Amino acid sequence: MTSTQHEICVTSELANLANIGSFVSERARLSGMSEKQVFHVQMAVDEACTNAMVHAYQGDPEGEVRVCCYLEGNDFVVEVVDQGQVFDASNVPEPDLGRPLEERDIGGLGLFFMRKLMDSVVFVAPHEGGNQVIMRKHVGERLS
Amino acid sequence: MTDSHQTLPPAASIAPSGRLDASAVPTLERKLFDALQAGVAHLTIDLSQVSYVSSSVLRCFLLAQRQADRQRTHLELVEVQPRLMDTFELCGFDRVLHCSPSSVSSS
Repeated sequence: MTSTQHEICVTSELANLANIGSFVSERARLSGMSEKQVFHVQMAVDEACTNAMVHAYQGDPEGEVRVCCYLEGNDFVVEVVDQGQVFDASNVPEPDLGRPLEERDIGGLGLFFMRKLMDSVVFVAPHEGGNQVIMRKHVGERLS
Repeated sequence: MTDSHQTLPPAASIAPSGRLDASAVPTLERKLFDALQAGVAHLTIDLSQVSYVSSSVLRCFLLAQRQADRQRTHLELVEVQPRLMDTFELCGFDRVLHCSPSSVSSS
């Protein structure tokens, strides 16, 4: 069963990340998540929205980023949608976190956090263009 | 005649506050690299008032640490809040950055 959807729609300015963070944290908290889980959801959504603003819109602040939250069964679901350039997450290599500092590639950390902090992260390329990221996290503590 | 002797500041400290997401990077980066360019021997980043750091800020810390290593500046992140320390540990940054946890217990 899916609950009522709650949505925030902002322009692609990085200054809007804080508003998105507050919105998502409040919705996650109201869904019954622990503060640790709320923090994880907020971080994953922040990374997804940063990707939309920086990579999909390539820094253009006139784009639109839509974030939608709802409960589906015991899962808190967040969808992040943009109309920017298609972003192929499969092209982004996982960061090698075991390498020495000087040899570390500094990219890929945002996707790493999204995948690590959420139970599921799916990238969709909508027919009408842009990107859609669907992230799920089970409400209630798991092993993480 | 010019005086070639320069006295460099031995230490500097930066204390950002609040939520450090991608929008905070340009200012933070400028402050960090200005301090490093001044050639300090010890640079402290006080995170006691920081509630959140995103991956772009972690990347900024990583670049600053690289530069610090090259010029032999000791860079240290202090008063790291428990939730931020969890983030550092998750991506292994606790192994490449010098960071010490908050002295204030969260429990």
